[in-house]
Amino acid sequence: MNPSEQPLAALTAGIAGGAGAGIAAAAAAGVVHSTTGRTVAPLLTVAGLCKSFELERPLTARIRDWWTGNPAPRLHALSEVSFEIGHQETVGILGESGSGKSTLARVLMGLYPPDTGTAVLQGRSLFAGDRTARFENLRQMQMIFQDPFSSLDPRMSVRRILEEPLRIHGLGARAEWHDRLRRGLSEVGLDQDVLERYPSEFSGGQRQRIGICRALILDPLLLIADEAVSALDVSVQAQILELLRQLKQARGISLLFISHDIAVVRQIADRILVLYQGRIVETLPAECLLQDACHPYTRRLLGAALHLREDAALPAGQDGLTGGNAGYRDGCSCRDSCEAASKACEQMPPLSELHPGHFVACHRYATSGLGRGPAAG
Amino acid sequence: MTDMPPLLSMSGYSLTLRGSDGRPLPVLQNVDFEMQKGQCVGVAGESGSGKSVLALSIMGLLPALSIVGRSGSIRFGELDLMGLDEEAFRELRGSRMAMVFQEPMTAMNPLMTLFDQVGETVAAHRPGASRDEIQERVVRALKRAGFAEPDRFLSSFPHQLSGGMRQRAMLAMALVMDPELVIADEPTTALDAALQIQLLGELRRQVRAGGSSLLFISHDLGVIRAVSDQLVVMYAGVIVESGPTADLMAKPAHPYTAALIEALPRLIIERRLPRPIPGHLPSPDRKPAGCVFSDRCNRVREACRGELPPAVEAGPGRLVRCLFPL
Repeated sequence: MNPSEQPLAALTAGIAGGAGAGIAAAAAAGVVHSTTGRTVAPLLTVAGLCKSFELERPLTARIRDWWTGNPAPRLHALSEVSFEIGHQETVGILGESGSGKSTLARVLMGLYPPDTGTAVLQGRSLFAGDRTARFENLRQMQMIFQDPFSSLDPRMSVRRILEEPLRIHGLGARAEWHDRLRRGLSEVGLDQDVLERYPSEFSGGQRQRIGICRALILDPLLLIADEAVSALDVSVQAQILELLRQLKQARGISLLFISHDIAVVRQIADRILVLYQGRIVETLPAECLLQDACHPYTRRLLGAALHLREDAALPAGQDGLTGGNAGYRDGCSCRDSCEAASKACEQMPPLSELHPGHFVACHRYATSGLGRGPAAG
Repeated sequence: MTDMPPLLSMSGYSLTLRGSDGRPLPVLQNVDFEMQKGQCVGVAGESGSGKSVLALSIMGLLPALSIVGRSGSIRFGELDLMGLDEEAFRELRGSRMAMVFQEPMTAMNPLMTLFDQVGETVAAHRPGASRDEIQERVVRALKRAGFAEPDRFLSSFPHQLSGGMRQRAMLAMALVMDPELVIADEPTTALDAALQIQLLGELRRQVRAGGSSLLFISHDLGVIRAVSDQLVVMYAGVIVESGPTADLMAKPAHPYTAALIEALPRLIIERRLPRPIPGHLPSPDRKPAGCVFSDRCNRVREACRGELPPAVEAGPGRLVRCLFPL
């Protein structure tokens, strides 16, 4: 069954049955979802998130800046990122390396403090809270990492790896842990006898299952998967994607799925956000991606992926060299490689709504207003 | 096919390595394949299928102590690689055959500049070369690998380059001596599709232009299709199917090849998750008797569990090791 057909029905059922006090509380808040019109508060609301890093420079250059009063150059990893994740929704973040995808995950997990912006999970701010509030938030949000080899401590047995989150959060009595671990393992398709073994004894796919089990052991509401399948072989990738889909359906959790692979994101996500140089340049329902994607950057990614996946002819100009990351500046970051670039593109275009749920940051679509078909791109 | 002797040929090559606990592991079994000059050959298979060991065998990079036994032959041009000593291999590597590795961050020395990394190969193979000569070669190789302005990056360290640039630098290191054979082991796995295509295009073009041949190793058949004319599919140390890439992907004859194609994420209108292959690759010492794929194959019959099926013809230029091909 197509996972994207599920959420709404399952969601209403969940609220009616009172499953999960959190969902009920969110429903009581009764906010209308801006893109779908659902009268439910989103699980996570991120607004105006910015994060920049000071660029590493030689000491002499730093002294010169200080002497002349120039501000140190900064890398803007995220600029004005705003989005929502609904209950039981899978949001896919798509972008090339250096687009800010991983920074986003890290800021949400509290690993980097944001420069400005807010993120609210179930009515609680992720950034403003004191230690206890932050701790509680982290229990609701867990992460699956990219590299199944470096994200598991090689000197800890699987039992210790899985018990660690329970110990840190002081969840349940010690006597219950074993049952919890056993349930978790069977959920991710691993045998009970793995508990006393060590990560080195497992294949990449099995390790990723252990990583997923560790993330689920605290019963979170939101899983953040940062390139969770890109280190795996295609055959194992398919297994892990299938597992994530099943878990999502069985547990009713939400998923923020970050990846550079457009084909993978499209299969698993309900809604896709395209990130380019730290900005959201397009957001649209996953089922519309192939026909409706219109931002030049999204089209470029799609063209390349269609060539690799479906043996489609390569769009003109894509086989050659492009400048790569030109660095941050004002205005639309695509204007150098876009054949329709004009004077207007020196200003950053705002996100405007093309169709319900489909937003794009491109002047071509902003000026011509609503109703203009994406075929014009 | 042609009268020209193949650039590289392996016949009946089997390799047994010593496992970490001392047990012998049969990692390659009866590998037969040929590569002509100017050809791009793709080797597909899951991790653990033996494709990297195959590459290391050709490059002579397997640690001698870990080899328990090997048989068959590997010929490169006029040379018999099985009988070659380390000294002769060192002469060969970098100049006549070169390798592009998977992980540029670990394959490059973090303390060496781009010029030093790429120039090292030149200095090793042309002991008398002046700095100018080396620089000229390095700049040319970087240009061929897709650096628009190589001079700007000559004194950069690996951490100052983006992922795509590091991958290009690896390619330049392989191309700098105009080798006859380039072996690329998953060189684009961690990159996004747009960057992958640029690099694959570059790789293919450079290999063709320089008259060299490319052996391209990957688990992703989509990537292999974009770069190779001939395809070799490996499973558990055995070549299960081989033939022209387009033909083989359009009509796979071995159930494993078909399953590998089914596992690819698609970009067609109908949205469905890619179909996983049930079970997992057996470790080299636990291979099933008979056909190596028999314990995961959905078409398995009693006869499959007898002995390893012979390679039989399945169309022009195609071979398959299956008793009941599709």
